Amino acid sequence: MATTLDRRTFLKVAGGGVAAAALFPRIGRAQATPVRIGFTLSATGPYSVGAGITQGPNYHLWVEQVNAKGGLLVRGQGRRPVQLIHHDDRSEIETAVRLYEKLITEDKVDLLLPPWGTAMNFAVAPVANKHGYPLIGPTVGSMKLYELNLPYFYAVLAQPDSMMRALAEFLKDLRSQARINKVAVIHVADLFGLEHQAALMPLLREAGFDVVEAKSYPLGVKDLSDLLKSIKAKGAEVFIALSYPPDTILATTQAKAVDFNPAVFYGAVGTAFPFFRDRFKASAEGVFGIGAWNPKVPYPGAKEYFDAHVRKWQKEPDRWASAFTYATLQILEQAVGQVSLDRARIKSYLDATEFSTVVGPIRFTRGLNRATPGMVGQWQKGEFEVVWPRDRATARPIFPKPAWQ
Amino acid sequence: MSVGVAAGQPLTDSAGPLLEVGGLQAEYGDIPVLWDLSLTVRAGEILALVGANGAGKTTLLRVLSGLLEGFLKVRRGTIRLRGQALKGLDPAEIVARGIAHVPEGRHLFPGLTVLENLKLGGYMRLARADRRASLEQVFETLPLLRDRWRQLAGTLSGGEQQLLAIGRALMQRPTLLMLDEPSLGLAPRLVAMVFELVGRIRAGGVTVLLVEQNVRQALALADRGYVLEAGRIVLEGRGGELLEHPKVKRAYLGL
Amino acid sequence: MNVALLLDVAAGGLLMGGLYALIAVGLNLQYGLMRVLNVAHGEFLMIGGYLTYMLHVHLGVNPLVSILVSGPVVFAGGMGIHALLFRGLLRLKRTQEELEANSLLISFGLLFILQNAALLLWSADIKGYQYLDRPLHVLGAVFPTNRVVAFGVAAMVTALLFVFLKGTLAGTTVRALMQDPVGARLMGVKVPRVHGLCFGLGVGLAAVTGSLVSMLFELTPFIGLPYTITALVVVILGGLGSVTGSLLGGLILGVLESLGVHFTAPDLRMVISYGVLALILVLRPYGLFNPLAPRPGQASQA
Repeated sequence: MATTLDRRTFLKVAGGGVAAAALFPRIGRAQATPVRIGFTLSATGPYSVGAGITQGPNYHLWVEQVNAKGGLLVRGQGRRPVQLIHHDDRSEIETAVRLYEKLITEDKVDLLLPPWGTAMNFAVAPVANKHGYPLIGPTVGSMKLYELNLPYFYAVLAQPDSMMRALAEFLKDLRSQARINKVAVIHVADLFGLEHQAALMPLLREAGFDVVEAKSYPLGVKDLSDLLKSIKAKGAEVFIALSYPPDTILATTQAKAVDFNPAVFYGAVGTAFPFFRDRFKASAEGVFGIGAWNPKVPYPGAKEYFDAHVRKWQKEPDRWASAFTYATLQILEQAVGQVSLDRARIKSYLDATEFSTVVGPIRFTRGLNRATPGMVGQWQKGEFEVVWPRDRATARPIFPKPAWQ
Repeated sequence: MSVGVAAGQPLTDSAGPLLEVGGLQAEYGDIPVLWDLSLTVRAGEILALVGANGAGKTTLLRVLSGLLEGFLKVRRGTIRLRGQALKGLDPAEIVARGIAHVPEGRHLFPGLTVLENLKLGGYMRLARADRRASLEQVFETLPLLRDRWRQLAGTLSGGEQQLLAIGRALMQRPTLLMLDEPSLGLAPRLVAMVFELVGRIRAGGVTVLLVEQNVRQALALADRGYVLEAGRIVLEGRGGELLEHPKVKRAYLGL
Repeated sequence: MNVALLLDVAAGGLLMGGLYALIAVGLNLQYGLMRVLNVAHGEFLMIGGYLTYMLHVHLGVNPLVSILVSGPVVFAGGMGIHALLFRGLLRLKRTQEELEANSLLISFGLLFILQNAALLLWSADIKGYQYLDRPLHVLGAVFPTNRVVAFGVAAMVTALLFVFLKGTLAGTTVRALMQDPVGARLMGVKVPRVHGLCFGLGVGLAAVTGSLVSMLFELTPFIGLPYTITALVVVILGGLGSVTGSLLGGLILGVLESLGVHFTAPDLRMVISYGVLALILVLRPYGLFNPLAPRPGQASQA
């Protein structure tokens, strides 16, 4: 088999294999039947940006790598090629739910991969759970989802509680170096923004920060400049946007344009995208972001993963959830190799095992990965450095933020 | 039936009729509104077309100027201007051949000035130089428009609007001017003024097809007339003759 | 209350309002003139934005100069689309309602085609560039330089449009056709030709707006529809068929949105737009500045 196959060629080969298996039933039947893995991602709509950067490329990269090795190792069956069955959910939650129902009941896929984003996962997780499909979400930040108590759902990212605690601790640490007190928080009116805001606000108050502004804005917002102007007028020294990619870019562009340059400028999803760095060039310097990962982290396979991503897509993975997406695939691959495609047994295996991944060790405690702490990253000279917590840091933070360039 | 043509008129009908309509049938949706209608307009005359509301007068004018839109369709029949077929042409081509139509309700451009309204009348048909001459001529005929040239058409009184509509049509230097209910809604003094204007226009060499509900004055002014009822021509004759016709007297003059 | 900040916010709204006005004038040229409700109007804005993005990022063309390309290219494309899709529709129309319904369907199709074409050409990734994104300090207030420049260009383009509409016979014809189609036809106006011209002009203006928008905001293939909705609100606010109305309506909506968002939250921006729309429909259904609106006591013409 060729070392690299695009999906279409692969389907032809796989199809030919099925035909051959029908003609010669005794010849290698098992390895010709593909493992069918289903998912939806938003190819259109507001979620498409994140889905197209963080999840899609990694799904396809992983399948290519697995098939190049001769297929996914399924315990007791040898290697079987992987076939992806995927659809565009158009950033519509109800569409995603319907499509996941279809993937399970009509397409009868062997395994599921999750869609992009907190709200999407929140909606489809109960469906997967009902049918006993393990779902390991790489782009989920929600305690509410955890409270739904879905045993088949797993989250690898640090959740709002630990992510926001890390941010608050980091701010307290910075305050010990220079006077920062006035904080403005804006959040996207989506489950992601709502939960992170709810987790952050009490921590800020507890720490004695003066919250001068706390407002939400809608998903797909066009303009934040008025809001930024009034935040600037209120003298905010710390600006926190619990944002999604398009609005992270928007808030940064407009903060720069209205000359709002707080000592701490923190954006959420999208800050860690290489696109952010390429878009803002020197102005990206010193911008903080939620979560962090870069190829310098000391975990096995991290650098290899980074290089493979660049080779396949001619673009770098994002510096946060891309690697976590890849880690979920590593986990799935290991589980299937150890226990086969029996989904109940995969679940037991996920519950009981510590995995070694490109983002470090992952271990699930009642579905949550508590082995990865909340982190803060910062763009420094073109790399998104891990700056908090100290024991994970790849560089010291730059503070206060330099002026926009 | 013979027709008396006013003496000293620049055109005679020796070259045949100016406009000839033969066997025209038009429908609105599936409902016929004109039945086998034939008439002629002779060069230089004032022809009055009278009849009750809904008799088909306005429809006929719309058909003649090619305003076939909505559900109005021509089923059969011929329309010839100096022997040339007009049926099936669009309004722009019909205008280019010299038929001007002052429609019911005037259809002025209310947000445009008097001058802009007039200019639009002339711009399709005339070269720039002719347009200026034409404008001068219209201002001479209708001095009131010269005084009001900067005013928006929508702010003119009803009578002034009617004069502007006629002036705009004259800008096209038509051979045939079709007027649909020019006296509708006007005070008696203005009605007289409009009829006087129609007479002057004909004197200037323009043939006039006049549709009116003001039957008495229309027939008094016209050389000839047709009476339309339910989409058919029921009477035709010289204006004076028609005024004396018992049927006309009974139905339209309330005598 | 901080008066300086309020003025600052209002001025910011005015700057956005200039762009609203431009795109709304474009829509009004189509809807006001021929009752073709082009819901794909915003897609032409999106295309204009991408054209400028490509010219600037790949060929180094100044975004302002790129307007000289995006406007004419989309203008020509718009004339073509009109000839292809809408001309027959206008010829076959029997009632105004039928035309509006059919044009709505066709332009919805157009919307999906253009959006998906953009998706294929440029992918769903957000695209943007930095241009004049420095702050400009004016009388103690601060504005993004690119917004001030965009507003200036929008004002210039609008002024040119006004010169065309008011100063040339072709422009007068357009206004005449808007005000009274029957009257215009009787003057010998070649209606399909003027419609094609106006459709092209309308989407061309959308493209110019898009070029300006690309200096301020990131592009995705999906940015169009919200602008179409805003434009529709402005057209109704200012009055169907009233170019001046669209201009003033755009500025008013821009300021109202900014102040509204300032006092509430960005969540409510669309609510404010729709609120303005609802209010206008109830209080002045013909719009604020429509010269064609029937005055009290005046009978409507058949």
